[in-house]
Amino acid sequence: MTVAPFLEIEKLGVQFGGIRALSDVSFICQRGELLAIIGPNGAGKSSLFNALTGVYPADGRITFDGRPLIGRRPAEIAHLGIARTFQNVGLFEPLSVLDNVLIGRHVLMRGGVAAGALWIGRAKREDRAARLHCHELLHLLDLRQYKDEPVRSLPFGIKKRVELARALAAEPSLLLLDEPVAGMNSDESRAISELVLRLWESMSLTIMLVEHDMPVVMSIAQNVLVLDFGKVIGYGAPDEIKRNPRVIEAYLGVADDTDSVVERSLHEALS
Amino acid sequence: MILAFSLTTLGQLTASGLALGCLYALIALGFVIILKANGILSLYQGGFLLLGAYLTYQLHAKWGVSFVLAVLAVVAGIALLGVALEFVVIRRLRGSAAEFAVVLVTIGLLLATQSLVAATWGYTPLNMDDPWGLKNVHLGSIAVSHRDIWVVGSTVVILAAFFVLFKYSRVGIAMRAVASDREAAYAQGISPNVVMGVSWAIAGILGALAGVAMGTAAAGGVTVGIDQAAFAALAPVIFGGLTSPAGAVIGGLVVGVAQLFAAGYAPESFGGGFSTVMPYIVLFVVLLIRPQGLLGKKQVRRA
Repeated sequence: MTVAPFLEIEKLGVQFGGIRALSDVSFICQRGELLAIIGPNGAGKSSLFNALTGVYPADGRITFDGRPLIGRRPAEIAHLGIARTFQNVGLFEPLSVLDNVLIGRHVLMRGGVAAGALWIGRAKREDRAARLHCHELLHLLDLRQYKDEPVRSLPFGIKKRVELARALAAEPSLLLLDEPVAGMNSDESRAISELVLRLWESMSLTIMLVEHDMPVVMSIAQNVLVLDFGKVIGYGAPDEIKRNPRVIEAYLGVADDTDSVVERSLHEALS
Repeated sequence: MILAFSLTTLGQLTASGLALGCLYALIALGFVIILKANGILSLYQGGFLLLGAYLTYQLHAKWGVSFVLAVLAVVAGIALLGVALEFVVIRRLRGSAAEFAVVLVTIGLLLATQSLVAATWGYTPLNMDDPWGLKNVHLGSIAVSHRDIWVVGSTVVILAAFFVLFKYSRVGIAMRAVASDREAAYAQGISPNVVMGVSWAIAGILGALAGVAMGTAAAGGVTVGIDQAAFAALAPVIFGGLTSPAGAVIGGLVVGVAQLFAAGYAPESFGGGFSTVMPYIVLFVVLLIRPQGLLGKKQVRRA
């Protein structure tokens, strides 16, 4: 008997008016895998995450842990165990770091609204446990000193870590990371990729990672999915991807200034 | 003409103005909470005021239920009514109807409530006595009524309770998250239904309590005109910057005091009802000087 894949995506399509952001995307992500998704700007990487989390309406089929996802609302999908971070950080800016992380935890809490407001019963015990767990996460991600700061006052790199903490607070079985090292210098990005790797191993997570930073991708991903113009043009281990002629063409064949950084980093990774 | 100015009068007017301002603050906070959680301005606050006053009158004055029990029962009932209105009416319009259509629906609900109240209890002012008595406490030469002390005291307690709720409780944190970024909050698994239902319940509780305080004899009795205070309380809402709870509270106090000063100091030639226009004059002046309101943020729109 074969085990059903953890996440199976079949003929996924996303359409905005006349623009096809994704078409006929099919792939499988196994439990415990660290899968990177790469592709030039506008290839549909973020659209894929948005389709997965129910933000964009999509056609085709997504089966996560035996359950269909298409047609579900973002909140439902969050409750099924999928957490994400955003390319441009989707934190609640006026709220404190701790409150942001607590919100990530809320999907796991079952106590009633009134009980929570009155600080009684199960809701009270849950709340205590949630705060304890979030404090541990802040410690793990070295964020304790910012606990009570409003997020809007923090530098971008710290915000990225807060967002990671919020996603982890939900104890997700699938974690979607959208460009976790974007806008960071090489030291910071190395620290974050080491952190992601450490969390992936210690928490037995399944991670899908969108990233432009090729050295990061090639060093931590088990498998790489390559998108271009909304279609899958390559899938395989990092070593195979480096040699895939269609991937090389997609990255190097187009003379597009916006992708020059990516090209350079791919060059470095390939050489 | 000699202006009757004395420190005693000033203190007296300030004290009464703060009591009125507390009620404006409660009502204004109700507007702000629904606006922040739902993204729509509900003009139904007046309905909560009317029902709060009339139902308390019915329970307390007609059926002899003790005042405290009557208020607790009415507040609980109106909280449920708020949830029901959101669930039955507002929720159906969400997403499909234009925002302004929802505002109009809340006005329709308010008009329906006014008619229902008038049909049930008539237009004559009703008396539910003064549960706090009519005595005054003398602070130096200033006489402050027991009612005003109760109003200010309860408002402080209620505001403190809501502050703690919003700061620490799960639903409070969720509501602040929704106010900060609605879509991102839903993506985190926060239920829009819970947040919106709770916001309507809170607005109902605040409106009902203000309605009760405005319906006691010292305040003029239970009349169908009580809901006018809700429109006056829109002034502090806008004054405070529409989405700032602290701004709404400060705005309420400022407008309340301004209204009492107008009642005390405006020359007779301005007419007897001049003070009731005062909230709108304050609003007008604030909008001229600071269009985004006291604590509001300037909206930057992408061109």
